[in-house]
Parts: sequence; C-alpha cells; structure tokens
Amino acid sequence: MHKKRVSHGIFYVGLALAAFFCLPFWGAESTPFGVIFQLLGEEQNVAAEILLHHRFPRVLLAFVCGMGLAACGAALQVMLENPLAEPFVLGIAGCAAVGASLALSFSGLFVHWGPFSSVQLLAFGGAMMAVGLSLKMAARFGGATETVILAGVTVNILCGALMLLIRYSVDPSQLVVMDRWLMGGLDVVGWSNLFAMLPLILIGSVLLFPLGPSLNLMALDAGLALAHGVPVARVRFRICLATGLLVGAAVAVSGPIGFVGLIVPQAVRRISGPDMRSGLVFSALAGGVFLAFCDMLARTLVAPTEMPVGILTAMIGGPLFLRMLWVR
Amino acid sequence: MVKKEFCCIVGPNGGGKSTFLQLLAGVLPPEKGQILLNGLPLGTLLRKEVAGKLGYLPQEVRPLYSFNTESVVAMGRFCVDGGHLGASSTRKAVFAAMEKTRVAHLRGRSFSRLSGGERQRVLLASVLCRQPEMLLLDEPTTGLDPHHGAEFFRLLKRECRDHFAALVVSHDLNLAAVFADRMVFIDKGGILADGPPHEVLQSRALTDAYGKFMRFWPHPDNEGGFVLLPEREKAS
Repeated sequence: MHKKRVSHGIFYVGLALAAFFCLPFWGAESTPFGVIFQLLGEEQNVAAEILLHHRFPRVLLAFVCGMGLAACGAALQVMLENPLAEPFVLGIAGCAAVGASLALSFSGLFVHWGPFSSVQLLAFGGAMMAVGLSLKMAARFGGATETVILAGVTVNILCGALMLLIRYSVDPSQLVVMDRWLMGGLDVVGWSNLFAMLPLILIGSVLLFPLGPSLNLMALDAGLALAHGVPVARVRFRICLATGLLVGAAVAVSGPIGFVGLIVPQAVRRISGPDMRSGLVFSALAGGVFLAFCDMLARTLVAPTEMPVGILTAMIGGPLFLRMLWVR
Repeated sequence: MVKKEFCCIVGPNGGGKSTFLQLLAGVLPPEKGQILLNGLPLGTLLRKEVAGKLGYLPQEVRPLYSFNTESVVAMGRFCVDGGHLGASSTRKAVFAAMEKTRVAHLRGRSFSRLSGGERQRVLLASVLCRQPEMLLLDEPTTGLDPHHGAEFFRLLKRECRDHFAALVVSHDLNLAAVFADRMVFIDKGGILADGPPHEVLQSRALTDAYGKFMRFWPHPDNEGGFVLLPEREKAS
C-alpha cells in the first residue's frame, strides 16, 4: 500500500518535472535545447528571450491552472457525492467567467492594484455563488446526481446569456479580446499574470490539500464521516472556498477551461486508487501536466497560429463525459 | 447508561428509535434542549472529541469509491490519528479489531463488494479500533440472515462485557430479548417501557403495539424469557 503510493508519487512528480523541462521547447517554432545554456550567458538572443518570457511562464501558468482545476474537481466529486462533478460542468467556471468579464468590460468595475485586479475578485465571487448553489442542490437532491448536473447545465446556459448581454453592451473593438479569453487561452506574456494569481492559488491550496483524510471518510459515506469525527460542514465550507479561489484565479487569467477537473481525477483514481490523501496531490500534478501538454498541442497543432486550449480540452473531455453518462 | 451494559432500543417503524440514536450521537442537532456527554452539551464539543467517546454507526453506508476493507476500518481512527494505515500503531489496532470481529480474512477485499453481514462486521471493527466508551448502532442486523444476525449480536455482547456500553437500535425483538441486559421500548417519539427484557416484553405498551396478530410466548428452551411469534389462524 505504502510502497505503491510512493512509487505512484514518484511517477507523477517525474511527469511534472518532465513537463517543466520539455514542454517550453515546443511552440509555433520549436526551440533547440541548446538555448537553455544561452540563458545563463551574457549575450541576448531572441530564442532565449522567447523561452524565458513566453514559454516558461506559459507552461507554468498552464500547470497552475490545471492543478487547481483538477484538485477542485477531485474534491467536488467527493463533496457532492457525484463522480461527474467538475468546475466547468457545474457552472462554476461559467459564473467565474461572468464575474471576470464584468470587470474586464466595464471600466467602472475595473480596479487594479499592481498585478492584482477586480477581475480576480469578481471571478472569485462568481465561482463562490455557483459552488454554493451546487452544494444546495446536492443537499436537496442527494443521490440524484444527474439533477445536480442538470442544475449546472442550467447555470451554464444562464451564464451564457449573461455573457451575451455583456458582449452586447461593450465596445465592439473589445469583442475579439473577450472572445479569445472566453475560449480559454493561456497566451500570456511575462510573469505578471502568474504573480497575480499566486496569492489566490496559495490560499486555495492551503485550504484544500490538507483535507485528504477527511475527504477519504466522506467518500466512504458522509453520515459515517460525521460519526467518525469529521466536521463535515466545515470541510464542505473549506472546499467551497478553495474552489472559489482556485477556479476563480484560473478563470480570471485563462477563461473557462473545461473538463480538466473531470478527466484527470477520474484517470488518477483509476491508476492510483481512491485514496484522497494522495489522490488530491496526484490529481493536482496530473492536472497540471495535462493542461500544460494540451497547451503545447494548442501551440503546435495549427502553427504558425495557435488555438485556445479550451477548445482542445473540450474536444477531448466532452466525448469522455458523454461516455461516462452512457456507461453509468 | 450503565458502563458495560448492553441495551437494546426496540419499537415499531417510525417510532423515533433511529432519530433518538442520531440525537445521542450528535449527528442530528436537537430542535430544542440539549444532549449531555459526560456533563457537557454535545453541540459545544468538537466532532473529534465526540467520536472518541461514542462509536456511532448509521443504518446504511453507501460508499462512493471502492476502498479496501482495512482502509475502511482504519478510517474509524480518524479522530485518533487521521485514520490511515501509515503508522504501525494504527495498523496494529486495525488488525486487532478485524480479528475480533472475524473479518481478518477479508483484508484486501473491496468494501463495496462485501455481503451485508461482512460489511456490518467491518464497520463494527472500524468503531472498535478507536475504543470508544459507548457504541451506538442503528439497526446493525437489517437485511442479514437470522444466523448472521445472531452471530453479530453474540459478538457484540462478548465485546460489550469487556470494554464498553452498547446501545443498539433493533426491530428484531427476539434477538434483543436474548442478548440485551436492558431493553427500551420507544414508540410515537417517547420511551414507553424500560427495564430487563422479560419485564419489557410483558409490558402493556408492547402488547398494545404488537398484540394484534403476534403473541409473546415463553422461550422454548425453558430458561426464561419470551419470544415474539405470530399466532396461527384458528380453524373455525
């Protein structure tokens, strides 16, 4: 048992390290590995600049977003007792996107302090609202997992309408930027975006990752978990808060990216078993690698341009989600 | 409750037995009034502290993911050490408890694939391994074959004599009558009879509740006590 966990841990960490060191070298133009030595040297070089200021932050950003989404997905699936739960499907990402685009579109709502801005704040607010709603729905409909998903779909439709309303009322010149953001893109420049989401990610992680043992008991049975001494209500509140922070942070930068929080925890559970103590961390690592990899594909498949990674994850995740519904 | 006493709560469906047990376990907050545990109101204690004293098992456990049996048992020690098999002290307690409830042979099996009786014994091991002062079990023998039910009660009785008090909700009056030291009859949200099984079984409240087609007969082994069996339809 213990040995298995250690070996799986090494596998996921190795995967993450490999992603960090290899993925930045692929892009619209692949960068030769030798460039890394020029980073250390004095002389300036375009390829080295691209690597340092475009590729590395981008891979890291993809990793952090994927990490947050997958870890939240894993926790939400247990909290809502619903293996199909996921930030995107439940409308959490959608609500966060509405919040973020409100801040992006109306200058009255846009306030910024250095790299931090009201975009994140409103995205967090939106995400919290949606998580709260899903929790209420899950409490009311209990075992009927499809009902909770249906509520999420409805929230997504509602968010879609709100987005249309926002788009209708903004300056047309901004529409292109907004569209790209909505499709889920990670095409950032420099390190400031990463720096801006760091506090949210850190607080979210500190809230979420120690919950493994409690989540294990809740995955066995929430009632039994309470009897065994898990403060279930408090754990749920912490998951909601962490989801708001992590998903809000990811959406504020990259737009709603779907299905990472669904596929990755499911795959990790299949490979490494249901233990949530390691499962949360493994899901986070695997989610980061998965999104970073998808982003690499998005950069290279249609080179010299690139496509938003959200399209790619949806094209992989959508059919898998349908399959899960089919075999249930 | 007296220490090391085996007390059964009996009564018809919908009479409030399970609710009573949930209130005692602090799983359900009381609408008014408060439940005291060693003189302190349950609501003010941490869940961990409560779990250390009380081992409550709900009527039904529906696992979301398929854990293996020893992980399920280890989770019972959440309030002691987080409930995983990492530490050797935990492993020892877990395996000892599994030995006691005779599920040691199920190690490595998936909990969700066990039969009803095996599940109940695994869950019992999960509360035993944290050595609570009192067990609160909700219908542990529902859905079990008669001999498995009797085996479970026998096991409980033996453990109870040595270590803790047990409060067991059961609708099986016969099992309760044979094994319990004390019997409490609950119906319509109130305690209607309380005492040693043979007294409670003869009380007015019980004959009122069950008497229409059922009768209490002396136990056929002639060592006292009663059993509840249906009356045959008399040929006219």
